[in-house]
Amino acid sequence: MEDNQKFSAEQSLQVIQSMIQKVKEEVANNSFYFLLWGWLVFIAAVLNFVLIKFTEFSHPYLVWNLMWVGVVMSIIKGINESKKEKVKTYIGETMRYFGISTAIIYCGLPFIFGSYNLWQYSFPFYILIYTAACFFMGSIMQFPILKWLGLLCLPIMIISVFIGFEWQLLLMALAILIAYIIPGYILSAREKTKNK
Amino acid sequence: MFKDLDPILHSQLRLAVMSVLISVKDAEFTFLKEKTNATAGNLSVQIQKLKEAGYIDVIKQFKDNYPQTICKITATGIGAFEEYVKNLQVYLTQPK
Repeated sequence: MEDNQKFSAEQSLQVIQSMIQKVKEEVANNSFYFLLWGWLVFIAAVLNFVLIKFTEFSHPYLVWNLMWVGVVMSIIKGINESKKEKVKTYIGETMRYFGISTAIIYCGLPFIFGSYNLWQYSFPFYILIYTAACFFMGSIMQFPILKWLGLLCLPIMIISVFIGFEWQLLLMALAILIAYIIPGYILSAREKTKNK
Repeated sequence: MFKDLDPILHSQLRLAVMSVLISVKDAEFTFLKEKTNATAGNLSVQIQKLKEAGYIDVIKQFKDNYPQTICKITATGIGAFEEYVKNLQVYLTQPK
């Protein structure tokens, strides 16, 4: 691009539009986090259900220690991404701080549920958080599928209140499949197309 | 005809830089170079002019032992850009 001061008003407008478009095309790789956490929670919920229903294992909840894998991998990915980051977009920053905020909630809730021994009420809370988080992220990322799939978790949360703990685990798996795994794959396909 | 347009912004490369910076929180020099397809030398000169006008802040630092230049639009720059776009709209809607 030259330093041309004799360009027309139309050309000025074209420069502004094309630059804003180029910035909009900058794609953050959010699909990694959706797929990582989606699959970890899905596997843990299904495994927990299987262990309760079909085995005599006395500590089936131990499968939730899988979440530590997610914590470590998210921190490593976050550090690597911040090293490579050439631009900070407002959407990217909003998503980052929203991610950290929800991580604080996800880490804090087990402490509260554990302290009061209220585990049987925990999954409806988590499904409710998925609903709100996906609705917010879908709106911010201008990704309507995520918004509507997130809202689909609301009836799942309502149903989960009326059923037993072990069946809540399956609903938790269903909710994470709808709210994280499916949008994660759609996002991943979109990122691959745009990054080509 | 273009007398109302800010001469600092009415330059293809400076306008391109400002258009990128108005859409983001901040951007590295390499990102601006990639998006504008400008040469490093020319881009440095234009960034310096924008900085001298008070339209952008330029932060020079080291990241992993490599020098890094970060550019960020200032409140003055946002105002000037908005004024420029407003004047451009007036010009474009005028009958020719």
